Amino acid sequence: MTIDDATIERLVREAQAGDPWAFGQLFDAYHGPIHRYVASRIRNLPDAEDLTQAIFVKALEALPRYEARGIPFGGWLFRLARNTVIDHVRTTRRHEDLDVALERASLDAAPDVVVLRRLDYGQVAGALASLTEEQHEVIRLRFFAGLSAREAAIAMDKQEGTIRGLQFRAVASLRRRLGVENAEDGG
Amino acid sequence: MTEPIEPMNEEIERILAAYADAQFAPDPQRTATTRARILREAEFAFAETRDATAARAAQAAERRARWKRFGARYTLVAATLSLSVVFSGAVLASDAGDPLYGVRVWWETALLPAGGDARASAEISRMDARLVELAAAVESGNGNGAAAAAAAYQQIVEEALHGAVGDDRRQMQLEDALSRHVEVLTALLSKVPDSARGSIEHAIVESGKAIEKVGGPSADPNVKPAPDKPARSPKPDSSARPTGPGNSQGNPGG
Repeated sequence: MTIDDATIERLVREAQAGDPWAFGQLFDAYHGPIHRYVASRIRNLPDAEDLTQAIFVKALEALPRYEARGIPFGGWLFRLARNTVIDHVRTTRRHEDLDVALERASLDAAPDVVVLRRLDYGQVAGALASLTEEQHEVIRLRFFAGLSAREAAIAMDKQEGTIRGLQFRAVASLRRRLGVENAEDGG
Repeated sequence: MTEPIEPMNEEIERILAAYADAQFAPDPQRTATTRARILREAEFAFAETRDATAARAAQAAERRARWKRFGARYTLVAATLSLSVVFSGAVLASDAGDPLYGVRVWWETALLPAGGDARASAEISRMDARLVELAAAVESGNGNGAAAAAAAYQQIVEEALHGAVGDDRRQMQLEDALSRHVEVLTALLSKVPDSARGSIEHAIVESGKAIEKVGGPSADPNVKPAPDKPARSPKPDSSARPTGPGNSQGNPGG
């Protein structure tokens, strides 16, 4: 994310005033993070793109009701995205197997790289799967979508301190699972 | 949006970022398609927003204009009512000889009952009222007021006489009232300022004529009006004494 918060708020105000270009800038700023978050939740890339599009349509409809008043736009948008994903998962009950996603991610890679990535990503996926759902959600929002702790707190409707605590425990668990501590200790 | 995490987590951050890029990164072509769709939606939605905003602005302007028109009307009505109240007060408070006295008398005439005994009674009451005003003007030496009251009285007599034609009962009532009034007018004549003397004498004469008309052949033979001096003496045994000003016995002068 290269746009600062003040620019984001200005673009929001311009979009609220009916400027499509401003909304396009907001789309460019948030599409990637939203897509990463959605895809990490539903593990189906075509559905993730459709859902991302639906989230932006919802944001478009809800934009006139958005009032900054201390709530960053990113937090507001990701709360909307999170609710949309939860509704989607609840209604479709489609949880793609992790291996399918891994296969798709490696389609373009050479066979030896595929094996390596499959191993690495499998380790990461396994480590993530060992987290609690809340820890996992914090990792998605903070590392996959790139939200600040405050934005993640707003998206999850929790205190910022709670988010930092969940993140601390999640990262500690991932380090243990992925052997990062050993690697650091060793070199 | 992102904020630095502690150095010891950098490796984890790198691993997770690489994992997310590989697993969850959007397809650029699909992203472009989505962007185009979203912007079309935005164009459509914002056009509606702009239309709605313009419509709301127009409605607000119309509401403001309506309130302004209402305010202007209300102000006009309120001003008219206020002026009416002030004018009515001035009319009702006007004494004989005042500029608005004629308006007040006219107003009373306009508010009289349409006909019948009620109108006859009201006319007699008005004649009584004019005599009270006449006496007050005489007492205060207001010649113009006395003349105005006498003239108004005479006008009422003519109207009452016209209304009583052909109605014996009303004629009797009128005759009785006029008899009382002539007594009062005669008593006032000795005190009236010179400027009003002619008016009172005229009223006495005309009242005498009216008594003859309503009384017919049976009218008091003692009533012999003269142009310069009242000839009719008051009825000493009248059972309905005039409520003349200052004297319940028909002798206002005491």
